[in-house]
Amino acid sequence: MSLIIKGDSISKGICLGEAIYIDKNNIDYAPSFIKKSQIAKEIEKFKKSLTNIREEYEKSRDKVKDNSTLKKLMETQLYFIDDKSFQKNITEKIRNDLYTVNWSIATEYQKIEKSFEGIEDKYIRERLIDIKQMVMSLLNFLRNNTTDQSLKNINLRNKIVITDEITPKEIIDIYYSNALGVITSHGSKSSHSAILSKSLSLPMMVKADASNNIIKDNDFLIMHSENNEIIINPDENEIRYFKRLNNKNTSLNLDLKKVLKKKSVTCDGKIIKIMSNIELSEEVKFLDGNCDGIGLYRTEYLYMNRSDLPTEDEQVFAYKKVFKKMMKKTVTIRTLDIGSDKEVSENIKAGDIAKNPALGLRGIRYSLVEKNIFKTQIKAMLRAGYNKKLRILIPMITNVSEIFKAKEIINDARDELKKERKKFTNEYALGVMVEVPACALQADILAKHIDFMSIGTNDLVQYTLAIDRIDDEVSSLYDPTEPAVLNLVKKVIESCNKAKIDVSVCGEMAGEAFYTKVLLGLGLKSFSMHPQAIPEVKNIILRSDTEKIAKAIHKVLKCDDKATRESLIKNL
Amino acid sequence: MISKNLTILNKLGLHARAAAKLVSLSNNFNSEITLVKDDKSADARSIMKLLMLSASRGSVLKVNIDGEDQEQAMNSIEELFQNGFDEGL
Repeated sequence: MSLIIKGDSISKGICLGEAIYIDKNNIDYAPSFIKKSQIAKEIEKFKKSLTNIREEYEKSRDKVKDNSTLKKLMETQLYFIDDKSFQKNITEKIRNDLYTVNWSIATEYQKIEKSFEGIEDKYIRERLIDIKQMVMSLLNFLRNNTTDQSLKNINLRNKIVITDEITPKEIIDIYYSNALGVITSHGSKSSHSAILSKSLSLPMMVKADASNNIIKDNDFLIMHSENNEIIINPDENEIRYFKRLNNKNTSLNLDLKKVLKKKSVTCDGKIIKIMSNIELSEEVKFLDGNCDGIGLYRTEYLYMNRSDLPTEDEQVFAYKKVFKKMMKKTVTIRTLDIGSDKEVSENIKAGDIAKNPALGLRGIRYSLVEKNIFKTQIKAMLRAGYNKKLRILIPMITNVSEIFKAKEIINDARDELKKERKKFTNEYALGVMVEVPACALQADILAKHIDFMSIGTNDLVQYTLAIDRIDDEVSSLYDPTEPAVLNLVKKVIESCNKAKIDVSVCGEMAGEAFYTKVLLGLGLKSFSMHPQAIPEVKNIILRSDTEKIAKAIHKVLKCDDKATRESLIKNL
Repeated sequence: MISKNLTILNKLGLHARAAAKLVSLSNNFNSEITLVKDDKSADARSIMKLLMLSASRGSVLKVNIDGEDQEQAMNSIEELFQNGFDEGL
């Protein structure tokens, strides 16, 4: 009997394969014993594992240079490794009870866990996490002789990975291990991991009811993303049906790929620029050269999943990789935009976690506080952009004075590079992300001080409509075609045209075919989207008559009713 | 062996970093150092055991020290308690 469960799809497509369940917090409590003659060897193994993870911890501590809070935290961690009573108990279990080291650690942890559960003080009780992390590192080391808890050590080829939650790093590991897809029981559509899996075309579903072991190892699964469904152990007919559908989609995709070769011109002869959004320098490998450049290179990933900050040289290396692959085409690099729905790592945390991060210290606001982080990044961009077409994009701009302040730091960066006698570009373009309604409303004034604008529709919609797209209670109200939003976008495009500067849309709206004609109707001539969306959007651009759309768009701009508006858009 | 009742004065209680400080201080001495709260006792050289005492602000701990340098050890530990583990009171 097949069973169907629901989940939220991140990327489209159908995928058929066997499940592999990964419990990342798995501690194996299965009893295992040694012989008396092995006692010394087993204790030696324990000591070796302690030494090794101690070294790992010290290494990560030494990487944290300027963050004293984090450093103290890591120092404290070392005390757990050195804990005499923990070590004594485990050694005794090995010597007296002939437990294997793994089982000794597991049972000792079980005991500790029980004692911690009884602790009233929440603050102290939560430190069990540190002990668990240490225990996991020890067990991982004993299993694989490595403290690295990554998925790299597991064979995922042709499997569908089932787990609770997934980090961006794990998405990459999964991608490179040739897994078919990922299903998580938590997570959200707009998480970094989701955006990444979308850009890598790795089928992914979140919020699936995969908990409670509904999906077991080796279950055969069909991920049917279009319907937000997962079919567990389908019968032969279902398998045959979906295999056929899958083949059909593949050939449809092949047809779409053909439009990539064509010039990007509407049927009334307007040239439309199509650029790519990327997250990782590695992603350029997957671009097949059929786009007009990088319209948005998000750099947050360089700063994430680590305890220190990326150095200037490290960034130069990553940016150069992108420039090299893009040859003479434009590369738009966005400066660090942390906060809001993005994960915040310890290394780039300023103060406490904000109560309302979307309205908090993020984007340029953060950069103007942490000036050195910003300056280092600018220096790296200017160096990597030598003899290339660099565009620097600043996120979360609200007013003109933020642009002035950013320019001051950019000038400092150039002065420093001059003093250091480094090669760097003087011919870059400076632009801002239009995400805050204040910025859109003042677009004509801001346009005088910059070279281009890029409209980040995700945030612009969120701020204009006051809707948190991560909040399930209101996310259904999130609609980029609300007249208020479209009129703002229109105003920005018109202001840029008047000032004769470039304007593009780089939010998710640009990559969804449903909105393509709307944006053309508002006068947009430059789109930036995740590479996988290009064929479908381009296909629509090639069939669009912008003059005809321009005549019909005013009805959409005035239409308050969602259903009517949707049908108007479909008929554009 | 000498004993003394000491009170936790710092705001956060005997949390991880404070416990780490106590471990590190105790390692300077040779005496056996044990902390007792209610029915639980902890070796002052074990951060896990110290945390399990669940000693929040205002808790009174009985400190037992036994060994050749017990006097110096007691003085140092008493000072640490009175300083609120250098975290302010």
